[in-house]
Amino acid sequence: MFDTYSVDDDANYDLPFQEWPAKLAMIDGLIVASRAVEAKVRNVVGTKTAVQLVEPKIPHIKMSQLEQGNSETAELPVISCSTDMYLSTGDGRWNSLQEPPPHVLNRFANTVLNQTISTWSLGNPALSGVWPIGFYPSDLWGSWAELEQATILLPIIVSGPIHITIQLIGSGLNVGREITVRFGDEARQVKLSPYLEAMHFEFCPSAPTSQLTFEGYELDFETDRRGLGVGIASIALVQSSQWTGSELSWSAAKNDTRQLSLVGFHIGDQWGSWAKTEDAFVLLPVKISGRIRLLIHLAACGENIGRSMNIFVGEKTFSVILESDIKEYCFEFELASLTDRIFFQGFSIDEVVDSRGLGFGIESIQIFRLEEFFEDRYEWSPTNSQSGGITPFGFHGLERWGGWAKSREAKLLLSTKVSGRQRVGISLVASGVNVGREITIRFGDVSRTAKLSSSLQHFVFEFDLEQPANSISFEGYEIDGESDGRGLGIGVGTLQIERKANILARLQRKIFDRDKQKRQVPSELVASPQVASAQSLSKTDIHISGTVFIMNARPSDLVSEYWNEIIKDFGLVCDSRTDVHLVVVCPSSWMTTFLLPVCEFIDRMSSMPVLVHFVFLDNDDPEYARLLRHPNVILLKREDGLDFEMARYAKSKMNVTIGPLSPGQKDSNSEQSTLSVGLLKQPTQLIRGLDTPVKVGSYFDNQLLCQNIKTVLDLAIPKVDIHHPVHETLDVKQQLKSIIWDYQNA
Amino acid sequence: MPEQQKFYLYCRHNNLDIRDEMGMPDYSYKFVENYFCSSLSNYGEVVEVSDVSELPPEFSDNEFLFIFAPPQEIPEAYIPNSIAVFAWEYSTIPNEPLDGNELWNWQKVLQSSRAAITHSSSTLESMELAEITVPKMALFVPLFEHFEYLSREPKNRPWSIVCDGLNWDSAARVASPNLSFSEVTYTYVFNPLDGRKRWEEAVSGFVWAHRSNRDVALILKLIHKDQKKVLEKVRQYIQHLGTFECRIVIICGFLSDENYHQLIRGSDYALNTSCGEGQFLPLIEFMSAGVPALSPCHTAMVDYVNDDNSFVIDHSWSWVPWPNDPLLRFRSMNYPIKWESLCDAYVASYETRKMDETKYQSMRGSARDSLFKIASKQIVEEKLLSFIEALS
Repeated sequence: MFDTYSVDDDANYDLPFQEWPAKLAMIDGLIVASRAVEAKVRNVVGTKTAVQLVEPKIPHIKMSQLEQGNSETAELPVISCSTDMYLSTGDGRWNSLQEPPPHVLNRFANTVLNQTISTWSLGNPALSGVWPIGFYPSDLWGSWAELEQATILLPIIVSGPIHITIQLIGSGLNVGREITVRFGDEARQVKLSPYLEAMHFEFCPSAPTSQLTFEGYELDFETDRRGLGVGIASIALVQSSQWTGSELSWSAAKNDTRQLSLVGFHIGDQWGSWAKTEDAFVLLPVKISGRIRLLIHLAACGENIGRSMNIFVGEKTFSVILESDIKEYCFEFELASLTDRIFFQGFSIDEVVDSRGLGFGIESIQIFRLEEFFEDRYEWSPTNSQSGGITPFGFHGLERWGGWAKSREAKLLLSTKVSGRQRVGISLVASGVNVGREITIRFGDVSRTAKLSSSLQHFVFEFDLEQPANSISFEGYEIDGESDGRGLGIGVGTLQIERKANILARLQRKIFDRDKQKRQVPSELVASPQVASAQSLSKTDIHISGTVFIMNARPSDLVSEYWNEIIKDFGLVCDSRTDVHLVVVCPSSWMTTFLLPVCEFIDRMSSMPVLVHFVFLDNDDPEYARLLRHPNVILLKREDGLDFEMARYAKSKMNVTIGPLSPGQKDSNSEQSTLSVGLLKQPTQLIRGLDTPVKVGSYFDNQLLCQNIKTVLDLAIPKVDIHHPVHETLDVKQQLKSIIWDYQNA
Repeated sequence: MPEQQKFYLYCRHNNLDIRDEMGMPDYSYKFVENYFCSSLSNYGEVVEVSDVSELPPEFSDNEFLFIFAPPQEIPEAYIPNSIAVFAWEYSTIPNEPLDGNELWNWQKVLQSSRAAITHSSSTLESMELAEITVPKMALFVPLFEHFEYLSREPKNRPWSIVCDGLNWDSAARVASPNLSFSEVTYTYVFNPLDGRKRWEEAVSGFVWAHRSNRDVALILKLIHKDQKKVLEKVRQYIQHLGTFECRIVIICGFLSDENYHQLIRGSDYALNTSCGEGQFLPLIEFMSAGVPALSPCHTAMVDYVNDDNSFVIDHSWSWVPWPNDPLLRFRSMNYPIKWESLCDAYVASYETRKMDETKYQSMRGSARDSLFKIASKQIVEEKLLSFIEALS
């Protein structure tokens, strides 16, 4: 399935994909997403390849069903929508683009921090959500400050103790310069380096605040003639909270959503992160105490290989010998006091292997609470590996069937010690040299043997444990380096441990359950290893009264100025009208990147009073669906007709729509929309301003779009919803099913 | 004319070599000033000035100060005495300070001046809309006679020119200063760094329309002092258009009068894909020489482009900022062409040139006649003198 804009109608010329026609003609079937593309592709591939159309279908009211005469807008119901944020031309005067009015700032930051870790990026859309003010447009890595004092507005309000980790960079004359980072009424100093560096700050603002301000640098015009201030890649807030005892798991790898908060480490690589300074430490988002199992994956390079490194957790100290490969270490201990940090000592910074200077490496950390009470039954399989009370140690990453041991010390760890008669069911498999081998399965002080085969085989054993034990280990197998590049020990598919419950056990269970309930804490304090994406944090309501047009903006609009043309056309027609609104739905997950162009655009429209609201909502948000299903909205479809987002929700009612005229249609009263707008072809470079191939796109004719907007405004729009029975053929999934059915039965 | 009159012609480019100013902002004011100088010297004493200090502190009724500059560059002390001669191609006249500069409020500056001369009726309408009530007129540059003689000469093939500077030829492996043409030729004279010119559409439309036609050539005569920079910019764009059989030639160097006239003489069509023009001197030159055009009919072209002398390209419109507004606020309209209409015009014009000599010659004559009406020395001088008389 593909979309194209560059294959010419004339079939014998294409810009710039000269090889496309030949390649497309060799394919069995093509699925295209719009009639415009369908027509082009049919011209190119001829009849040899089947071309199927799967398009967003939005039921629309025909022009003949609408009456002339203005809607009585005073009678129109008010549309209320809960958005992640909105900016409006009606927000009043801004002092400048860098000084939004207070009510707009308050609208953005209106939620109290309620997550353990909140991470935002200025470049990565997956972690969008802050509002950089005084910064240049985002690059993929982050953004450079444009002003000598730049602010990042967080979508949450913070007061009290908070850890903030900021990835910063300096350029040119700012390298080595000490700059000031302000958060509320507090200020901290930090020295900029020429590479991105995660810096840790502890703040304790006395009054609620949401603004991080950067100052004390100069604008560097030597590196870039625009003038670069400080560069910011990401911001993470860590608020320690009470641990509920749930399993905690974090990764040190780059872009991992379970990002560990590391202080004194380099920016993460794909596998994990290297320590950068000898005082590097891990900041946990929860304070831990009690009986704990810590699993930690560590590695070393250069002079640190073979060194003994101490790990400090609260009052406990553990020692590990660092190895060149990533190795998993397991420690079980009891902490009397609360702690939220893990420190390391005994390594050095090796600048021979890498000029960045590398200490030890960390891949991930897992923390478990060791339970005090016996469970009657433990069950582990790859599908419930998180909740079964059993943790594999010394295994490769789990697969659908189970997992392969990667070391000869592989174990299955239980969250509590068990004793007495235990029935153990385990499925095992072997590869290469281990096939046919007899291995020993040790549970506490009791062992059993099993002969391995090349397919998963289920074994059931009984163990009578006199001494409490909390691990099952395996002996007598080799690491098979032949079958798989990873090196495979034994394979474990599933494990069940069960004991026949006696009266004492049932009593213990009852007490355990009661105790569990006591330890329940309010949900807002529950530590979650998940990163909080800011989109769900800030919600603000907009209420609109009058006739409302709705259009979608997309991430691709960030590299095109065309969407502005549609909004400008609305502005030209609806100038000075207070009863007509345009809602531009921008993707909330790209909020950080969209905020700057939206602010600029609102400023550029300031010459005429027109009501345009840029609403941040993701299209899977129920509020987006509610907005589209409102009776008196007019859907302004995009020029390419690819409004799948709208079609998903607007299919259950009849809509007034304005959309593109399909190829071959000349009448604006078409089958596709209530009113259709003729398209103009326009050659543009794929990415504006860059040395990129030329495409020929289709865009609304401004003049015709204005005419159609005006025509719709002169119509009496139904004030109540005209419900539409959902035809199966409208649904995209159904369209796809139908095509596949046809193929299968052809 | 009554007693001896004195004309001060102020243009900040007066003491500069125009070669060094090519493509720089407002450089065409010098061209305009040259033509005014030539016309006015027959009716009084002309003093060319490039520095405010050379101007007298006061002016009598028979002394006239022509300022060849955009209104924000009129020396503030001389605004009441000035006759602003300026080009403008947007639908509205700036009527608010820009970037803190009060002089960018053209409405205020022009309303305070003695009179205003612009080039096209379209700009005159914008001034009317802005309620500028001082004496004003639309006056094209009187250059018709300089090129009209070319309209009487036959179009021979092949024809050649010699370029002093960088050039590039899509049909040649190595650039040569001697360029020879035997194809149907379209010529576009423009500054590639001027965003209004929309030259990308001219080039892509040409390739689209004539991709497999070896008998057509597009000559892009670039106007900018940094030849290397603009050549690379245009060439890179062309190389992103894939493969094509038609020929595109880029000429960057300054052409001698002889070679420039040869370029006009040889060209079958003049090209213009701009979204707005104050008058567009190259098009006036080519059409005065009887070269039909492919051009939209908006802004200044409304006064001289029509279906009889041109293949008129349809245009749309767009709400845009004034060009010097640092905040880029939407205040005005410009008029981008409809690209498909341009493609159609390329095809139709080629067919006319190859198969309908009668129509082509008729278009040549019509082009010449249309430009006579607006750009001949006789007509322009009559209008200018009566305007000055009314001011005296």
